[in-house]
Amino acid sequence: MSLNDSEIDVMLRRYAKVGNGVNTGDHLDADELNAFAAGALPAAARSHYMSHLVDCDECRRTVTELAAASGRFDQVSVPTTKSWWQKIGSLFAPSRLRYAAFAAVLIAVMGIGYGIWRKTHERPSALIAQNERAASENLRTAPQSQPLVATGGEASQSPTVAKAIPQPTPMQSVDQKRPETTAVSPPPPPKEADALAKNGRVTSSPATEAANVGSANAVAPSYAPAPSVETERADTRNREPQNLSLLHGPQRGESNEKYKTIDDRSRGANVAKARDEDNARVQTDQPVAKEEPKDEERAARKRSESKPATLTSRSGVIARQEETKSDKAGPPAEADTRSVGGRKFKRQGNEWVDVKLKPSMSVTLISRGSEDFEKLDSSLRSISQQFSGPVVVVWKGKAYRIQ
Amino acid sequence: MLRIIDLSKKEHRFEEAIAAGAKRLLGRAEDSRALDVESLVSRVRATVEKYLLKHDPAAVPDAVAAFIDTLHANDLCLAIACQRGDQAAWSDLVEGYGATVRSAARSASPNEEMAEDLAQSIWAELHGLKVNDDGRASGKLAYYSGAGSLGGWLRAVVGQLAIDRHRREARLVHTEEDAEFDRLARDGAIETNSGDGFTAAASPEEALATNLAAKAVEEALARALKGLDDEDRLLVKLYYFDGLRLREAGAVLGFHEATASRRLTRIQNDVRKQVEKELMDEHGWTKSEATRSLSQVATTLQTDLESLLKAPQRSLVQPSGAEGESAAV
Repeated sequence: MSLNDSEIDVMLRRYAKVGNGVNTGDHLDADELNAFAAGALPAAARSHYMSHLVDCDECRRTVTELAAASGRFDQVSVPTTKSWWQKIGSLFAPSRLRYAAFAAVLIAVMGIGYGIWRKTHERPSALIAQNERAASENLRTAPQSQPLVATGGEASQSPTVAKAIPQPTPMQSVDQKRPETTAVSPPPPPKEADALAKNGRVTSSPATEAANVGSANAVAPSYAPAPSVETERADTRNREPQNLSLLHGPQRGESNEKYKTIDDRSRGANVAKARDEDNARVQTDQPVAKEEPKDEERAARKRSESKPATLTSRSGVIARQEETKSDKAGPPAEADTRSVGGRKFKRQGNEWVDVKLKPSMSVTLISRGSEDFEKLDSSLRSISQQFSGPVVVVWKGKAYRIQ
Repeated sequence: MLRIIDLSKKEHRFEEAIAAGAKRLLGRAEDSRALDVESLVSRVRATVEKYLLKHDPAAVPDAVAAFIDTLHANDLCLAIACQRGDQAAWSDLVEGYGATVRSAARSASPNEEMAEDLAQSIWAELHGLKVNDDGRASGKLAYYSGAGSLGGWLRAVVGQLAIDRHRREARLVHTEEDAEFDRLARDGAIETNSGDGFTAAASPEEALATNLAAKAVEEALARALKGLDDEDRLLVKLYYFDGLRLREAGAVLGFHEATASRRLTRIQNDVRKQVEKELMDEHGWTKSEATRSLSQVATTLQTDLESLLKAPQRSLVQPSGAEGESAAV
């Protein structure tokens, strides 16, 4: 109590001494006193008797005695101390659990909503380099079916051309199956690839190259001319029927001798024999490998003499498909465009340039590992680290050449 | 005419509610004492009229039914059976409540002999010495309504009988205690009016001013207390005048000690505001003057209280309240 309250308290005590209550003439009867003390009266009656009790000391005293005797003093002030178990139990009372359940449901809903929001707004691996060559390749392969059909049509229309093709049936089957094979089969062993490259170089001639390039341009004018490397590969593809024939077994008029050696070599690779034995076999295989260019030369000469459009176009298609195969199997550096960190880069020479780069932009030169490089945004650094060589990135309106 | 019809309809509904309530009450009783509904209806009707309809004429039959359901069925059946001369019921009454009566008599009597005498006379009062027209004795049991336990009612009867006896004796002998009571009260009034016992004023002017202020404060306090509602006044009476503890005062009024404490604090604030308002309105004092006078009078009264408590003679009021914590009962 405050000081003011204590002052009133003192005055009331004093007033209680001096201004004592009034004993009225009429008193409550025993039943009324008992009913009041028991708290069994309706509100109106209780209020009425209360006004009497305020002024009647005798009745009030009796009521107090009755209340004390009935044990109401103890009943009202029974301490409500609970045991620990009761307190813990009260925490899980249904009246409280309903709020807890509501809160849990609310939290769960918010969590799920947040998860969905994160999924919908999350950028799909923006900092992971993606090679867009596959997409552009799909764009290329889609129109490729048209030239293929066209060649097929030409082949059926001119029997002479069909005759000029040495092995039309296996070529056609290989062409049809190639996309699946390139997609599924692992890249060829480097030894075989080297051998094929050697063979291609040996058998390629300037005339054949010119014919191939010219035919490729004639058949598929919508595409840009293949780079020189690809042209060389296209020449290699001209020899592929022979190479493929090796895979498909002996053809008409060919001896089984060379397949024996190839079988041996493959068997040797599979069994993994001793190195010297393998070398010995390679030496024994050399004559066979030398024979093949002779056949190829002859076939190429025949082809160059006849110059069938279908063949050149077919070789161009094969070249592109093979290029796709090698691109998928090879490193992504050979792609023309790359998408890194949500940005597109084009290869210009040996460096990658952001497509957003404008000629008016001034390029800041930064070398990897330098202090300036460390000061760059982490995202920009991450993008630049996706490239091995120099790269020009447009970042927040500025161009950086990172090398 | 219509009003008479309405009243008769209302009375009819009440009668139906009372009859139904009496039937339920008989059903609730563990031992109906071979009573029928008709024997209960008149008693129940009297109880309803006394405690409900008399104070709340607008009460509805549902309220009547609810009130009847609060009556003590077993005790009422026992009382009615005793009233009707059921010897088995009498035996049960004496056996079940003999100890209660003796205990109440001891509490109300100064010695054991008087207590025993009082207890014996209770049974006679309950049975009744007079005989009604129907040949039955009209004892006090006829006044038991069932709106409280029979044991509590018996205690109240014993207490009232003891007070009646005391009054009869008091008419003959003015007790020493009462004489002391009156003397102290008179002295207190004189002291309040003169102010001699309150202050040690430095000058007669100061003493006069202080006494005037004390009188003004006391009058304002009396008016402020009268302005309280009955329940608040009863709480003040029980706590300050009867010297009950907060727990006991709250129990009499039917609420918890904490509630009593909060209510008393509010009452004190209300009284202070009212006293200050009275002093400002009637005497033209400023707020600070009223507050200062109140504080000064309270300090004076506190000093006086302490001196009274230290007095060897028995004081007017037992040491009570916050310091005393002694129950007057």
